[in-house]
Amino acid sequence: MRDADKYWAMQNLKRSDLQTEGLNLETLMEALFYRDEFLSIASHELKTPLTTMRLHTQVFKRYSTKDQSLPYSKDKVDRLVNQIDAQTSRLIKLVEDMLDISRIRSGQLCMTKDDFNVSDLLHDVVLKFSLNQINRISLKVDTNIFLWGDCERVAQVFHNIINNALKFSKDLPIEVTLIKKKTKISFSVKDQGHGISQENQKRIFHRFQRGISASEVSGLGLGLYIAREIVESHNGKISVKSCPEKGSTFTVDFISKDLL
Amino acid sequence: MNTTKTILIIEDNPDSLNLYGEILRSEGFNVIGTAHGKAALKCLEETQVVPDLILMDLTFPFMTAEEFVSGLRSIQGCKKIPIIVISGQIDVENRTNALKANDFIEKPFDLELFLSKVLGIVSM
Ligand SMILES: Nc1ncnc2c1ncn2[C@@H]1O[C@H](COP(=O)(O)OP(=O)(O)OP(=O)(O)O)[C@@H](O)[C@H]1O
Ligand SMILES: [Mg+2]
Repeated sequence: MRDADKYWAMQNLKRSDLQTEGLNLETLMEALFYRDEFLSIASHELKTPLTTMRLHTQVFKRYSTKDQSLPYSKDKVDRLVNQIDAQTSRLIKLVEDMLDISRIRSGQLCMTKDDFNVSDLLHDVVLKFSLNQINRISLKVDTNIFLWGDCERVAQVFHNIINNALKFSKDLPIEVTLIKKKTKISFSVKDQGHGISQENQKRIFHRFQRGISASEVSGLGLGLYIAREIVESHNGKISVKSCPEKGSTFTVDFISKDLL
Repeated sequence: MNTTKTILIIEDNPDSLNLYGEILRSEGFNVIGTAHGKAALKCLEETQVVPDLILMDLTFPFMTAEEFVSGLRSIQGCKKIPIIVISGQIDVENRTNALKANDFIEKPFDLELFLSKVLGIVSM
């Protein structure tokens, strides 16, 4: 194996894996395999929005150099501009996720902690989804729960888990709850999607791990890994219960500040 | 005499599908858009339209690109329809060869390349 490959493979392993399993060739090869798969997913995920944006701008350019006005109605121009805007946001999110990964690796995922209202935060996160998506969400939130933490990072966790539930359960409704019991604050999202096999339940919290091929549902497989890092740096726990074909429930448990 | 040529597109990303369709329609082509190979085969069987060119992505739900091409080639009249593969995958060239497709366009491509490849096969 080349040195660079070895380096990557080792980066892909968690320290605890090394301690419990010993550093064997098989683990290394597996890590390499996932890295290659990640690179191919990442390039696909980046190229698709880039192509659409490029074609759109070139169509505009073509008409403007011919000194012709665009044969498009205002509605259509609006739609195109919105599309370009959405693609740009998607690219930005990809870049931010990749930056988070490198921050985690170098131990620089900074948290600015404060006492904040998680109930309000969750409402804000939900409102950022599209109207169609919001209509699928049934929300049960205890009001005025406070948490000690980084509210933007916690919002990122909420967003990814809700977004996953929406994207992996076609058009079915999902349930989002936030409750406080004694000192435990629990956030959970339940969907009726295709679920996750036992084997995949362990993998998905690791970096670049996806339980589904890129052609079926888009994504880089970074969301849950980043979420787990954020939750753990809040002394919380993230877990999943799932039954293939029936759906999944993701739960994040935080400890309320009174006990910290 | 009707000389309008028909292009069938298979692309599971609706934005891309619309965009390719719009560009080709404005060049005077008749365009049929489908989201995956299964829908494309169904459409060819039911309408008995024989397109002059198929533009296809390499990954779509329900069946593989290979399964689609072998299904396509078994339809009467569709044995020789030219195929151009559009993809951002690293191994697009090898896969194009394996599918015996005529050509490939690698993402992210530009308008000129897209039109020249298409027109190279179905010049109006
Ligand atoms: N609610 C869910 N139902 C079924 N599978 C899920 C669900 N949530 C996550 N998964 C599986 O776990 C994998 C990892 O999820 P994660 O959020 O880390 O990545 P992603 O959503 O694929 O991409 P990203 O979040 O980086 O855009 C997913 O690819 C999917 O296979
Ligand atoms: Mg995700």
